[in-house]
Amino acid sequence: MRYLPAVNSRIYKYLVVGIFVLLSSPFNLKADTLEQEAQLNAAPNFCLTDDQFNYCEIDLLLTWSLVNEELVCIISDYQTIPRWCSDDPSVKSVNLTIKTDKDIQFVLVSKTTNLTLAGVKLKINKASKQQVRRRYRNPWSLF
Amino acid sequence: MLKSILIALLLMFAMQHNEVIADNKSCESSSECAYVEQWDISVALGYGQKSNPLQDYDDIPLYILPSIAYYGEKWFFDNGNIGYSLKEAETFSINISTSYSEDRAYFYDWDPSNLFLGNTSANNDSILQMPMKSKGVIDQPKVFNELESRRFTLFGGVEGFYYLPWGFLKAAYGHDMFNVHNGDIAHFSWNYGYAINQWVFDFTLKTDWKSAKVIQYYYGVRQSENEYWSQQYKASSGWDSGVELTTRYIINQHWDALLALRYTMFSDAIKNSPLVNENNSKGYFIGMAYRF
Repeated sequence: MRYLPAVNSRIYKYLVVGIFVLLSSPFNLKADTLEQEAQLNAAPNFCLTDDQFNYCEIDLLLTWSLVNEELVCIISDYQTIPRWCSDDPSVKSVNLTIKTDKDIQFVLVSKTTNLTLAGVKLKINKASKQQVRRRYRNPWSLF
Repeated sequence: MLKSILIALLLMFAMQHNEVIADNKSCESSSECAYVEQWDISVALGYGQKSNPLQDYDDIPLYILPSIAYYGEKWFFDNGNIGYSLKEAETFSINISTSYSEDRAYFYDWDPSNLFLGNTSANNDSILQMPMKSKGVIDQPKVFNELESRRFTLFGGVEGFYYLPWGFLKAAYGHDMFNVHNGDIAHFSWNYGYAINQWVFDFTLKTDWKSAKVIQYYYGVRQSENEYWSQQYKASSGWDSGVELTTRYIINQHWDALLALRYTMFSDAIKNSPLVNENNSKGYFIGMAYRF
């Protein structure tokens, strides 16, 4: 009986942990399910610009996977790319030629319901500039 | 050796190397810019010569030529000179900086200007010349005992650059920082750089003013060297003038073929020195430069 309070305390701990696991499990399952429902990928998903060209001009391949085959559309915040929609549910990719100096967010939506299914961002990174300054002596001034 | 280097250069030119320079605006193809916080180290190997105006001193052979620079945000170190940029604008720059004159280099192999040159030989024990006729009077022969030391010094001062569509102008003033002779120098030059494909040309017209103290220190005759000439020759200030051409053929990111020509016409004050028997100094260097 002297150890009873300690035993109770241990049981109490297990109970709290158990309740927390029970409560959190559905959310995790829900998240996994959402992730598995639809995925949109971009290849490449980033581009480096340099001093000579301040923009990226690349051929981008967007691929997606869906749990249920359906017609989809790709929309983006890149104004020069019009909304693209598939006419065949078996089509799972599209090639786009991109010329941009800013990130582009692509979103996969259902063609029928217009619900958002997945998204991906093309990141544009500027290569760090190598700073230059004037040189004040002829490199061969020692001669 | 000179012939073989020339042939190699001609062959290189004839082959019309097809490698395209990645970025014509980069500092690899321009001697007027430097990457910040990055050492710029090059070494040129070849053959050259600098004529020595001092009588009985041999011309100075040249086999290896270094170029070492480091530019920070404001500070810079460039081939032995240290500077700090007070103002860098689009059309002009103002620096405080050090500089050195080449005068001492004629006396010593180990002067910074000659640091990488071959040995020069000079008969320091006595410099002999036939007596000279001057104004109908036969001068004393120019016979000198061993020359006393002429110390190296740095000039500290200010320099300004003004950039134009056709090159840049430079004006500089410096004062002896180490009380060697307490002299002053001033420099004015026009520099024009031009690039045609892989060929880079740097052309400079310059004039240098040297105070009497500078000229007297290097070209004056000490009493121990010759008492007569030490009394006869008293230097005044003077203007040297010169022209320089540095030509590079950029082979790739690391290798350049290099041809450098220098010509300096001495001021009357230097020409009149009993130690001097040439009124100019000429120099050339031809070789291959490697940039690390």
